[in-house]
Amino acid sequence: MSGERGGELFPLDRALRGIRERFADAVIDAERTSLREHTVVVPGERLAEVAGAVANEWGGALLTFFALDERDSHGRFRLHALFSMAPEDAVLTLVSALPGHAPAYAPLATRVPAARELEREVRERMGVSPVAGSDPRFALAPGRGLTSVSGPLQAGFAESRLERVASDGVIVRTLETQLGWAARGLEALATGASVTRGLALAERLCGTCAFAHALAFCQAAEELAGVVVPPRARALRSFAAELERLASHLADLGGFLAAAGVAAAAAEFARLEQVVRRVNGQLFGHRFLRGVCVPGGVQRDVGDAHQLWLRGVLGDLRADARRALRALDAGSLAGRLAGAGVLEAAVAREVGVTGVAARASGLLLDGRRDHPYAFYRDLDFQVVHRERGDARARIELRGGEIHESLNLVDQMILRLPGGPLAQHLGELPPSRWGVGVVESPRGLHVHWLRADARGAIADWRVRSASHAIWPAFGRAAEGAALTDLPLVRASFAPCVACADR
Amino acid sequence: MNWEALRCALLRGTPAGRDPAPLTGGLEPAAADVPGEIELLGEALRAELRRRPRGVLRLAHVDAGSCNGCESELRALLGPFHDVQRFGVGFVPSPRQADALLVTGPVTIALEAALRAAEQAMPQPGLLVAVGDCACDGGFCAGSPAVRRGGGAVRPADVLVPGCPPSPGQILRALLAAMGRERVLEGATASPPGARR
Repeated sequence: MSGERGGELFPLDRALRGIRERFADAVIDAERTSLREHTVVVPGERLAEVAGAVANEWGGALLTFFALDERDSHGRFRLHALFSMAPEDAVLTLVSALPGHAPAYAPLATRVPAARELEREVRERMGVSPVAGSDPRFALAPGRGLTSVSGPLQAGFAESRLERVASDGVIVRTLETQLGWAARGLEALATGASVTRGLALAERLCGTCAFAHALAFCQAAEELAGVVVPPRARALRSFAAELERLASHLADLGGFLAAAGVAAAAAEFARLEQVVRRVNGQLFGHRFLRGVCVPGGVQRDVGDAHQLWLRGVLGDLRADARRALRALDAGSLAGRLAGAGVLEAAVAREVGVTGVAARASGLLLDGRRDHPYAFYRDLDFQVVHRERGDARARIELRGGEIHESLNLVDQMILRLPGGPLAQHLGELPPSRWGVGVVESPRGLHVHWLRADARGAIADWRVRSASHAIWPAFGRAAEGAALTDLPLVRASFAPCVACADR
Repeated sequence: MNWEALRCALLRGTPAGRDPAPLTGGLEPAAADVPGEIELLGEALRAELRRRPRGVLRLAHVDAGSCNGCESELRALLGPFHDVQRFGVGFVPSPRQADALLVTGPVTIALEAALRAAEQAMPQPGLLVAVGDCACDGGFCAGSPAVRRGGGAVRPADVLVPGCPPSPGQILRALLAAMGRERVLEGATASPPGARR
């Protein structure tokens, strides 16, 4: 895995060597904790410094940041910061222990801006705050134009959130979204529960990416238990994941075109989404693919008759989607879309956005390629990307990914391996942890799981793609016309349920 | 081109309610997709609505901490495949215009006041419809200190639509039950999912 590439070190080795050389006095402990994960323990006051170097100098991308409450057992809090060390399938984890009575640490967000939202969550949910440089919400300077606040209830099936827009009446100056209204406390609810119950909760984090969450949770449990998933199950997981991506992208395109007022094409995409939901129900027994993925494998098989039927259905879908996408070329719409809501690559990197929004801004990030899981190592696919970072780029990207997903499903129908559907998941060992990384339709979902001495869930932490999409949308909306705001929002299609949990 | 999409949709001739992906021989339809269900339920609903003063049912929706699954199915009801507007069911943006308020999600503590305000803004008598397991009794979220136990936190719901999420057909069935038809389709419904209190 690790090694040299043309005389140049891979990011993980570079980071480990850098930490050894520059932060020798800060390192308390360092070890390899799983096949792909290295863990370095540093004191709380040095965490930000080391994390900043990993992210800004050695090519790490923040996967997640969270706090664990160990006051009862060890009288301390623990902070974990996980970094993806792409292009290698490697994860670097920085760990800090903070005393339970005075949990203060140097603020991470000043060095790693992508940690901002996650740091806020740690502060709000665990009561662990950095010593300085905290970032209160709604800290807009007063008197900067017209401000309008809407929410928490939104019209038109939109999710509950509070949005504050400051503008000069025509152009948006700043946009902030306050989340947390829909927080259901699912991670806390899973504490002490069985893995089966945890999986049921993971599937209910979000309706549109239920399978991606289930898969990330299962991967974390499997890494923890040391279980290898059989090939047919891995293939069916990729299969279901691509169907979910199809449904989500089709729904997002429909929502976007509805926001743009292109009714005929929006209706066509809404119909195509229903075709995929219908396929989901037919093949896997659930329109939103809940109950398909289980720890160790999958629960449903796809027979030959269904495969044959599916090829016909998806063939029609490919042609229909291509035709409906031509609505974007209509002159008036194309003019409105070009340059609307531009997310610069530097900003995208700063807020740590992944998935569609990152790839549309020219960042070649794809969890399926960077951290191959399920069947993706054996499949042939392109990472679709665009450079402009505007609303049109994000919409075109989804169109391209629909075709890639259809190609992937075709490949899997041709090459579906035989064998069992699941491997028994034994006892979960205590005092270790597992990480699951999945590219959902919107971006990276990261699930982190730790078991207690009885084999029940002790701690479960979720970082979903939407954590970064909301701030990315806020930054991209700056400078957009007020009337284009629904359009820009629909091009990002951020999700409240994923971020609030 | 916009016209192109419209022309193709018209030429394809997929009427609303007809199966978007017909099954080939040897395949049994999944339990969630009863062929022709939407048409039957919709016509029955239209007949019920005709007896009402305005002949229509206007629904407003409140997300009280939902996972998006129920919203997705509600949106599907409006989409070209189910298209419930042809039966006299419409969605309005504000509870002030609504005959019924659809609640999704387990009602988080943060949103409880907002839901209560929306419920009081609805002209009385208005129906409170709990859509999905979460809204019925908390569902999978029950037991979390961050949530109440469904739409009943505000006032007892008039209609419960269980399911995670309920299919468009189940939602229609529950609306029909709310309009006063207890048994919707003889034989077709083993257990009516919507029950009027």
